Amino acid sequence: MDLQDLYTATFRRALLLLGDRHEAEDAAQEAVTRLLGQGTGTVKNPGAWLRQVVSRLAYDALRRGQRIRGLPPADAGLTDPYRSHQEAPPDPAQVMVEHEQVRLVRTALDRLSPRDRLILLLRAEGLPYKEIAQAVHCRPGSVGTLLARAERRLKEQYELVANAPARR
Amino acid sequence: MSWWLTHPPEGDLRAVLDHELHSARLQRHLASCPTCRDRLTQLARSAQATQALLSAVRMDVAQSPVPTIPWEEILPVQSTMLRLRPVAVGAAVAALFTATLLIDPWRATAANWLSIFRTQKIATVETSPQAIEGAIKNLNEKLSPELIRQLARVSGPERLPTMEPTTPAAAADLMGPLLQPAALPAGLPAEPTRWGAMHSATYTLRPDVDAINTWLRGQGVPASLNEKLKGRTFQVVTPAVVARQWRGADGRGLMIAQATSLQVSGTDGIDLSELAGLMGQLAGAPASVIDQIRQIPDLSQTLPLPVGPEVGEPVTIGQVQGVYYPIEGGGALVWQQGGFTYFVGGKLTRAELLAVAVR
Repeated sequence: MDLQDLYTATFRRALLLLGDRHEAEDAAQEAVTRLLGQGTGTVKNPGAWLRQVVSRLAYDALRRGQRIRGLPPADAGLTDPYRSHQEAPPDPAQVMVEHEQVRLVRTALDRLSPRDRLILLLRAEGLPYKEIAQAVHCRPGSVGTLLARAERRLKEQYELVANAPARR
Repeated sequence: MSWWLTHPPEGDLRAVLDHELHSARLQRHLASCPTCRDRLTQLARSAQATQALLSAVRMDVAQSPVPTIPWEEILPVQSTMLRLRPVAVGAAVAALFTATLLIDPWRATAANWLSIFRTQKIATVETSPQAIEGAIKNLNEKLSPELIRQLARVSGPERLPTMEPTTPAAAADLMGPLLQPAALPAGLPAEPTRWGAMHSATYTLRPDVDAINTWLRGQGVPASLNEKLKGRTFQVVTPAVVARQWRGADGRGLMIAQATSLQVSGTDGIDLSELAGLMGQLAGAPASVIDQIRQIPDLSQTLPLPVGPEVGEPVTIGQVQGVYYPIEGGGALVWQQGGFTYFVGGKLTRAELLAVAVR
């Protein structure tokens, strides 16, 4: 896997967790930079290493509250200076159709705590409890409990968002 | 698995669903407890519903375009930093100094815990890429943060400072006046495209001299720390850094970074030359490199930077001495002036970099 492939996977992981292209770009760049700083020969599995690092970076960023809350990913690209001059804005109607569900889920995720959000998304990606625990700084034995609670909270928030009378 | 008397906790059941928990006792309980089987079913439904919700987001992310500009354009500039960092580490290790801008705080702390300095000028040390690489490898293998904590009592912020995005106003608050480029190369925007800052942090270190000497013997280092160091406490203030990045549309890029000096206090009366030799041996630096460093007359205020074929070359930047490091596709200048360490690098020619640095 070359560097660009590693970056692509890392960026997508960051985008999934953060929901904001600009912050995902920063987190992915930081993670890959750290990998290079380690020396490529010293990390046995760069892909797994990057997954861990970018998950922790995302968790820290969410906890710092730096993310722009509530910004749907479809809109985020329009505010991204590195993309805006390169790609034509998507058709609004098309965006509404294709991304309405994503917007609802993202909005619900935004209402969760950083830990609940990360646990759900990392588990959805198939990460084992041990890696999830490392990313959110908890014991592996606690992940099951936290996961079950987070699932209930996501369901509650999603229903609130989906049933809200005033939607864009 | 948790301890339980009547019914297993919810977390254990959830872990069973994910095949993260394999417990014969829990399975026996499930076989005989309809209540817990029902709980397990409810948890499975909740998990499936969550997966269904999140699959929309995951699919959206999988189809999202990956930025096309940043990586290719940032990498040359950042690789400049990355390649310089080990270069500087090699000298710092051998010399018991650190290039304040270029190495991570823990390594700086390790390399400097016994020195006192506030670097104001640089000295060049003739060395080779192989010697630098060997010293870095040795130190990376030998000095981990965990080991440092075993060999010294360390107090300070738990989280090490890292470079974070910042604003021009916040950067000015942190650093004061910033080095302004004397001339921006063609093709670069007038204003930086990205600002980053790293705050300083203060650490207190109290080395355990006996433990360190025992460890040094185990490493095969013939020298040892002076007994005078017993009971001494040192304060280390890691540097604050502000970095600005310009990205051109043609793949060229510039980074200007400015760092305060790393300061170490509480080391009056300590022979830096002796310590430099000790650290040099620990890093496996060649004797010729150690000798050069030990001969620097004012070690406490001097930042040694490596030069040599394929490493870097001395260069005059205005009125002061610096080092130019040629790098594939570009280069970088490093120098000290007025209490700051400066770095000007990127995918630019040497003349362009000098034009940025020198008024």
